Amino acid sequence: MKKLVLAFLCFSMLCVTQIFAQSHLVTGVVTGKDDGKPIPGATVRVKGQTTGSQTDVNGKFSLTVPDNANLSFSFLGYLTQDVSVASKSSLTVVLVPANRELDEVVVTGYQTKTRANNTAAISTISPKEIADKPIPGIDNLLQGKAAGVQITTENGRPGANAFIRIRGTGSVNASQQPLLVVDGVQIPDAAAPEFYNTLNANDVANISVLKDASASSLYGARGSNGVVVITTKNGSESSNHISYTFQYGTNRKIPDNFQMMSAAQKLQYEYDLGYTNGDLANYLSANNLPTDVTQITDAQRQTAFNALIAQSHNWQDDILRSGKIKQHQLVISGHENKTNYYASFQKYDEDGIVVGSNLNKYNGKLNLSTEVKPYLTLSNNLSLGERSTNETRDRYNAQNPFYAIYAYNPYEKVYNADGSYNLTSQGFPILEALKNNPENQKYLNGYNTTTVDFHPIKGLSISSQIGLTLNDYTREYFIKPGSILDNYVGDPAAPGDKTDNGSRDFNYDWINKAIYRFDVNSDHHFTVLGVQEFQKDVFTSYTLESKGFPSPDLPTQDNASANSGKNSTSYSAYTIASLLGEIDYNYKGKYFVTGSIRNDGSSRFGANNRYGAFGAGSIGWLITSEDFAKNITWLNVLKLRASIGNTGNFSGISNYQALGLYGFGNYGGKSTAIPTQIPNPNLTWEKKLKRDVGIDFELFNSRITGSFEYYNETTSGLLFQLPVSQTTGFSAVYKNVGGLYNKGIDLSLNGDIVRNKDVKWSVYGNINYNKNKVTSLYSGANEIASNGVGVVKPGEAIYTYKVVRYAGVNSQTGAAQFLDKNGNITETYNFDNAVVESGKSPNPKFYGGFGTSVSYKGFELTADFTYSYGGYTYNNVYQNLDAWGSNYYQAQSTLALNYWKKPGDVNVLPKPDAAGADQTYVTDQYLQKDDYIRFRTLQLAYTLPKAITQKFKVYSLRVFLQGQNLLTINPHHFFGDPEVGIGSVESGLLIPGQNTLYSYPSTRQFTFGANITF
Amino acid sequence: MKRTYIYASLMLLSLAGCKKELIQNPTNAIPAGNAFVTPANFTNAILGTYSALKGGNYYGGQDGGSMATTPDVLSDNLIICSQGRKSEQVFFNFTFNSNSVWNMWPDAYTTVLRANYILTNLGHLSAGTFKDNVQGEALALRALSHFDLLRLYAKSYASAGAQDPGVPYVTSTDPTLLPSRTPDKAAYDMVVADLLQAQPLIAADNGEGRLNKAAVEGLLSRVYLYRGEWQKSADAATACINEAGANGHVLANTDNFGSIWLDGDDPATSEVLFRVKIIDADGIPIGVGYEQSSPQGVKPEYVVDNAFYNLFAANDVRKAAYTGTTVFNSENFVYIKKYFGRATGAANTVDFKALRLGEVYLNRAEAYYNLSQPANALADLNTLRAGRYTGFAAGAETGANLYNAILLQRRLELAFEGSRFFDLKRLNAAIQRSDFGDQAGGAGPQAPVKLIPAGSNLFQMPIPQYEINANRNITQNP
Repeated sequence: MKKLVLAFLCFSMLCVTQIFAQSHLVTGVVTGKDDGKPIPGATVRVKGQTTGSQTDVNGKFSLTVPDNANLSFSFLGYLTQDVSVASKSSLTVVLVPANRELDEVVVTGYQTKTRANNTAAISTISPKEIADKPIPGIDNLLQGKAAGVQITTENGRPGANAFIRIRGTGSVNASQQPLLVVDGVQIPDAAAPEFYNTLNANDVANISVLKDASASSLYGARGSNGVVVITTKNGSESSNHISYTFQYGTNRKIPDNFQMMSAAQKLQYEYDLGYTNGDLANYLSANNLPTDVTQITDAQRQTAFNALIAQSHNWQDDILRSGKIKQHQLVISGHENKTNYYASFQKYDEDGIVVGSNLNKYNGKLNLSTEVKPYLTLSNNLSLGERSTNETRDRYNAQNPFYAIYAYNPYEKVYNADGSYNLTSQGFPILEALKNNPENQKYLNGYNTTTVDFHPIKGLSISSQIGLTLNDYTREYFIKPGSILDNYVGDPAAPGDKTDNGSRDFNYDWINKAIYRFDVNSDHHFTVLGVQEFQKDVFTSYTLESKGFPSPDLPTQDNASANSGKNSTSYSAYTIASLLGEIDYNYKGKYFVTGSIRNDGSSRFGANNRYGAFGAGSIGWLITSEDFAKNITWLNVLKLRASIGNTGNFSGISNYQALGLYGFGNYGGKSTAIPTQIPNPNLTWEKKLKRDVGIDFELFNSRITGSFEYYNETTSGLLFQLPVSQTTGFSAVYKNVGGLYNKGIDLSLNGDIVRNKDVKWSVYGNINYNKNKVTSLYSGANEIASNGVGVVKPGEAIYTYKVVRYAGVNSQTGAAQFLDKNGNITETYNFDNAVVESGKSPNPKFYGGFGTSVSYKGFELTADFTYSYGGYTYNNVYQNLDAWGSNYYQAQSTLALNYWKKPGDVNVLPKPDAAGADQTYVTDQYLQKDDYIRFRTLQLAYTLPKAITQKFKVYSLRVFLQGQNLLTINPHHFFGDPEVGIGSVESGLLIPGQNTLYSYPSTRQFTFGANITF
Repeated sequence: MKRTYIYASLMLLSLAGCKKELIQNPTNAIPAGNAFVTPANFTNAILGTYSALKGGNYYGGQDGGSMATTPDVLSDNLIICSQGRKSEQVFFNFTFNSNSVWNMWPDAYTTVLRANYILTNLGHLSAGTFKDNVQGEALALRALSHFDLLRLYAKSYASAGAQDPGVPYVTSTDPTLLPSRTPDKAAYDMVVADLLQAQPLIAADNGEGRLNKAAVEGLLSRVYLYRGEWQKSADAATACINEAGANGHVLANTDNFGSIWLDGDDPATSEVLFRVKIIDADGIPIGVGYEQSSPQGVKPEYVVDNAFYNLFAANDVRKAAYTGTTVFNSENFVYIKKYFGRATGAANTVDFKALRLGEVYLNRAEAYYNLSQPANALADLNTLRAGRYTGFAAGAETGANLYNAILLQRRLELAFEGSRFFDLKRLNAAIQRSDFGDQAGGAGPQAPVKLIPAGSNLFQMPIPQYEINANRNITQNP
């Protein structure tokens, strides 16, 4: 050991003496081997020093270097080449294109590997793919970018999160989201959605998505849904720069693909159904006519209709708006001597498409690393941001503006004659509520990592990292005194009601790690990793609510006259202690073996099952390293790999679920004690066995690259809330029972069609095919109902639909017909006749993305598409707007006009019965295919020639135009937007793609921006 | 390599520290084993049992099945308001099924469990009045919840055969229990047995919001009435009235009757024998199932059927206490005011009056009538009416007129208070709705379903599907 340190010291002294050596000027040109053309912008550095330069537009460079220096030439996409200068004064350097895939960096979170050494299924997303988009959430930006990673945006709300499903839905009741790891820190599951939103996508250096066991079982009890590993930039990527970017734009609701009834159509529809609306009744009584429309003449009625038609308007114009998007960002980064630095600041503002909906975000970042001693590196990454959003209600009534735009009738006025808001047939004026019932949410979150990396001998690195994460949430909801909602729900003696609630999630993740890389003679290459890790997460929350406010302008609690008595705080914590070991071995870079084992203990689980071991093994064979393959010139890379292992899922249940508890409450203001849960000392994580085989390939001078994988993931011991007989006074107990599997294929392909110096044209595409099946539940359960339209049932995909089959209309009577269980026609609707619709579920059969990029000189045009095929959605909006006459009092689509009117009518809706048992039943009539292809992004960018910008001391100047969600192909005429996220937050319809129920619609954005770098 | 060894041992040391950290306990609950140690624990537990009555589909229900609304929605007292939110439509239209049901089941059994926890842990208390009272309250609450379940999900006592199923009568805290349905009559017997056991144990006064001796006797008079055991019902009612009177509780008069519905009555003298306490902090506005106030006037969910409304005489103080008129969207409605809220405080938030002396007098009047003691029956009826009609002159009905007068007073007195549907069921009567619409005066859309014949299976609410799925021993109602 001592000898080694001495050797290090001597080595560093040698480096120092070099500076005093003789130097001379070297000039030269750098060209590419592929097309023989000069490479502008290539980095030229003196090895071991910070001295360096870049090639000019003609690929030329000149640099004063010490005699006998080594120069290092690098450029993205080419292998770095070292050249000894000796006494030469002119050099010609020919760079060889890199095998793109094999040189790519993959990050497991505990270590960084190159694609070549990797035997796991890991997708990577490069920073360029997600930079400068008018979308704040990194999760949303991943859509269509990686095979097997299904991203479904919750809705179009500014700052909405996305559902991330890696290789299908792997759990029923526990979390289905992957673990998020940022700069090595495991982010608490509850805080992960906020981190995706608050982190600045432009700070990202690498996103690696760990899919198979070989990668994800490194995370043991948290790895079963896969892992998203985000690494941020640290300044080592480029030379010293200051960079400023701005982006401005607007958004709008995506247009409807259906027609609402005009005022005239609606009035006639109401009349035909025997309904007199309030406005009509008011008009009639004001004109001294009977309010019973059957008692007046046709002419009188038409006059009344005309009066209402004259006041009609389009509510979408009144309620919706076009929002503005503004983004500013400043980055200062680079490396000086032994220090890398990266500092950034971002401000992002986005208006929603209604008043009262917007997002303001600030984020600051500083990553610093420095070599304190030759054997000791210190680094600190800090990121902190606040996201403030003003929110609208997401519920199934007129308190939700996106319900209101469809529910209000066109003849209903915004204001009454006296200037007050018209309550309308919905009894509630949303335009008043958007102003007088504001809701604001703030997320302050960030992380800090401090890492000391000690590398005493070659190949050995011992490090300790403390990662702190904080997610602080505050929400304010003010029902202003005198507002209409206050009139409905408030206390007349103490008007106004204010809620302040929030939470704080603080987590520390302490990782002690040793990595040792060594070779046994020149053929056997080893990497050994050992990790000890401890995490503790503390979640606290509070709620304050008061009433009796003197003024709508004074919202803080100290103004209130009365406590509404709902004030409370809470505390909850969990811990995980872990040991992890991993060994990578390869023989001559041809045969690869990786094995890992992790032992996790968690406070969340029952005393009998507190610890679990997780392990994985994988092998790889790089065929193109074999002698026999070296002559196949068109085959650049061919690698086979396979992995197997197990992981766990500890998310989705509360921290104390295993315990038998007595909780507390109130009765008439006095303290009470009540049994709250049934104990289960055996409760433990869900287990997932993952198997994967894959092929990576590069063909034809690496013009075609891609990978193909087959996976099979089996979940067992599902964390189920096992229903118990409610006669026990409980409804359920958490147990590990039941199983499901996901099997499928991931395929990704990239092609360079044109690869000249001036013109480049590339295409990419990826696809996932996934088959999900529930294999077992718990004894006694045939199926578990899901939101009244789906089931979790063995033998079927999760959330397969189960609804009554609609059998059209009895053309003689107009009655609705259904099929009973046996397929016989019946006119009685009975939910017991619902049948499982095998093969129809919200899960798509295929999904993915594709796109293309064309560049000519400084111009670059990129287009990205995403698609989904084979999923179904129960379309509640369709049912609501195309009802069987039951929704006569609200606005309806023109489709609802097509109802049974006389014997012989076919292909019509049932005969409306406004006064009767007015219902539009849940049937497969409203179950729709939600296939789509969406033109996600079109971007045109222009980078000014360096020759021009350099005259103004500008390193680069780039301008860009972007459009988002420009076109949606909807082959099955889905009623509304076929890209379905959540149905409705407040109705609890949160399974992606299962329902539509007036959640925030998707928007179309147009932005322009510019980037200037000095 | 020494340093590496030191480092490795440090890692192991820190690991040992982690082990302790792997046990985390909540700050808002205690292990179930520590819940019954001191008498104070039992007081908390008994109040916890009462708090289960506030369940969202029980006495604390709002608009998805609740004691305040549903027994009237399922009857001839109400009509759905065309301007309302159409809540509880499946009940009004009698289109409920096991997936769409008045889900009182889990709430009532939660009460039962909490009572059973107390009863199985009684050994931790030393003998004495405290223990007796706790036991009495727990037994009475267990009886009350089972009785409510029987009223809803099982056949009436009179119409049930010996083997007709009731509901499981649960006396254990075993969470793995999969009980089958106790026969209807046997379950009613167990209700009586628990109440009879509770009666000598429970204290005469437990304060507001808790059961006491008079309340248990009042409940007994109700249960016996449902069983058609007239003498026992009358006796229990007499015991109740005497016991209540000895503690200062008397029937409200026409002056102070209205204050009951604003919770403005004096708890020391009130005729309310048992009220389920609901405070603003509970956030359960139980009146929302009937109406909400809006800037345009009260927006009714259900309105008083015009035929029934006309039965409220002008000098009946219940008319103004129970109902109000409003104009909403230029239509006139008669809405239900009984749960509108206290004089100050959250809207639609009041205690639920679960047992009143008014009912006990009516129980006894009906029992006396059936015992062929019309004079006694008329006396009770007149006592009640004197407290409800200003300027009341004693009536002198006889025979069928007397019987009808008793039933009419019961319908008026207990309107919108969780009784009408159960009374019709108990009496094996049909539900016959009027031809009036929802508007004041009777115009507007009429009820789509006007007749549920006596003895229809629709009088037995289906057992919730959740229970059917979880418990293979439960049979569904036809």
